[in-house]
Amino acid sequence: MKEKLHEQLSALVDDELPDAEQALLLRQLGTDPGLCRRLARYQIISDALQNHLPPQVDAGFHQSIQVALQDEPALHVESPRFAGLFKPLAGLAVAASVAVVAVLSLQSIRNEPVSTPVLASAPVAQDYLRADIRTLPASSPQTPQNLDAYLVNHNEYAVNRGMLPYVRLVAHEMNVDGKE
Amino acid sequence: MKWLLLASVVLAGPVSLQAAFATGDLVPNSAREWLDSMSSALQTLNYDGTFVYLHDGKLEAMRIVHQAGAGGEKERLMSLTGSAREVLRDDKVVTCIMPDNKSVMVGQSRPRQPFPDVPENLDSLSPYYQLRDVGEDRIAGLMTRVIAVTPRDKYRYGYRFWIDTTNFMLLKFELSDVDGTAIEQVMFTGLEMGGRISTATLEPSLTGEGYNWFRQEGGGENPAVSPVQPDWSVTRLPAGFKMTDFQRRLVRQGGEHAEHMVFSDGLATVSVYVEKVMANETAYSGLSNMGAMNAYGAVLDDYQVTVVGEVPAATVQSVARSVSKR
Repeated sequence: MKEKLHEQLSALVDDELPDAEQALLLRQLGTDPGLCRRLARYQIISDALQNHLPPQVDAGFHQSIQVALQDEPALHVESPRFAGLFKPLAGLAVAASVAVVAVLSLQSIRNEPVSTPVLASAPVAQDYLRADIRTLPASSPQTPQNLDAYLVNHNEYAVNRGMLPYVRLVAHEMNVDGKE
Repeated sequence: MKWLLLASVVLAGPVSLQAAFATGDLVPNSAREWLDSMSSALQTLNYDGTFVYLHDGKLEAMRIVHQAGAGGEKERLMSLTGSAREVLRDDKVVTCIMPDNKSVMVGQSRPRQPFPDVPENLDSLSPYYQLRDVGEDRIAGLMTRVIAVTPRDKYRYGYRFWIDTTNFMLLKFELSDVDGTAIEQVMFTGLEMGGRISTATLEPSLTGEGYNWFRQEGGGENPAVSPVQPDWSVTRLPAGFKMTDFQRRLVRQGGEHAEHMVFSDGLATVSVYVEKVMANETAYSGLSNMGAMNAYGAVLDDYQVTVVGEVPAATVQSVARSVSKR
C-alpha cells in the first residue's frame, strides 16, 4: 500500500500521475504530514537530477514555508467535506508566494560582494536528501570484509581528482555478485 | 515546485587564481590545459561544499572541506546521509572512520598525481582515449567548461568534467561506460571557495574511541619486505596498461604482507593484491563494486588475488584471472 503511494508521489513529481489519481493523492497529502515531507524530498531529488538548482537559497526558507502552512489552512476550509482537498492547494499557493520573496532576496544577496555562509543551508538540504529512493540490499554475507582496506590503499594511486575516489568509500554501498 | 530546492553557491573572498585569470595569465586554451587547471585548483583552493553523489539509481549527500596552505593540504569528506562515515586526509595519512562497523583505518597518503598526459586528440593521437572541449554549461548558476575524456574500448571508463570558468574548481563530474551511459555523477549543490577554513571544520565529528583501529603499513618503509621483483605476474592486461608501482606491505588487519602491483594506462589505475589466505579466513571469489569501482576476487592455491580499479568489471575480472606465480 505504502509502496503504491510512494510510486504515485514519484509520478506526481514527474507530472505523470493521471488526473483521476491526483485528487485522491492530494487529499491524502492534506492529512498526512509524513507524506508531505516525502513529496518534498522527491521534488528535491528530481530537481537535483534534472539540474534545476537555483543559484542560491535562504537558509530559513524551509522553516518559513512550514510556519506559513501552519497558519494557512483554516482560511480556506469552507466545509469539513472539502477540507482535505483544499489544504494542499492552499499550502502550495502560500509556498509559491514565499518562494517569490525568497528568490528576490537571493538576487539581492548575489549582487553584494559579501560572503554568505552557504553551508548554513546544508542541514536543510540534508534533511531533504535523506531519501530512500530504493531499498538498499542488505550487506551480503559474502561481502569481502577487507575490501575497504584495499580501496583505501588503492585510492592513493588514483589520478588527482581530489577526494572523489573516497566518495565511494564514504557512500559505503557495496554490491556483491557473489561467488562464481 | 522548483521553490522546494534548497541549494546555493557563493564565491567568497579573494582567490589568487581569480586574480591571475583576470589578467589573462591563466586562461586555459585547450582541453588539456583545462584539466591541468582543475587539478591545480583542487589542490590549491580552500573550499567547503555539499554535493550529491548519484550511482546505481541512488542519491547520497556529502560534504567536503579542503584547506590548502604552507602546512600542506588538509581535507575532510563526510556523509550527510546514511552511516556517518568520514575520511580525513593530509600530506601524511588518510584516516577513514566507519561507525557502521566501528572501525578506523589509517593509511599512508601519497602525493597527488598530476593529471596524466592524455594527448589532445582530434586526430587519433591517443589509442585509448579521446580528449575534447565540449563547450560551456551552467551548473548551480555558475558557468563551466565541459571537458570530455572518451574511451576507445570497453576496458576503461569515460569521464566528463564541468570546470568553473573563474576558479577552475570541479563543479560536476560524470563517469560513463564506452557507450556513454552514465554510471556515477557528483554535483555540488552548495560551495564556498576561497574563504578561510576553520580548524574545527577539519576535525572529525567522531573520536573513534572504542572503535577497532588499524594502521596500514606504508610502502617501501621496510626494505626487507620490498623485493625488487614481484613473486606474481599478470599476463593479460588491456592495451596500454603498464606496471607503475610495486610494493609489499600489510594492507589489511589480520593479514600477511600482500604483494601490491599497480597498473595504469595513464588515466585509469588498477591494483592487484596477492596475499596468503589465513587459516581462520574464508577466501572470496567473484565481483563486487562500489559505484564505478570494481573489485574481483580469485583464489589461487592458498592465495587470495584481489583486483581493484575504477574500470569496468570485465577489466578487473580479466586481470585477476591472468595472475600466476612466477
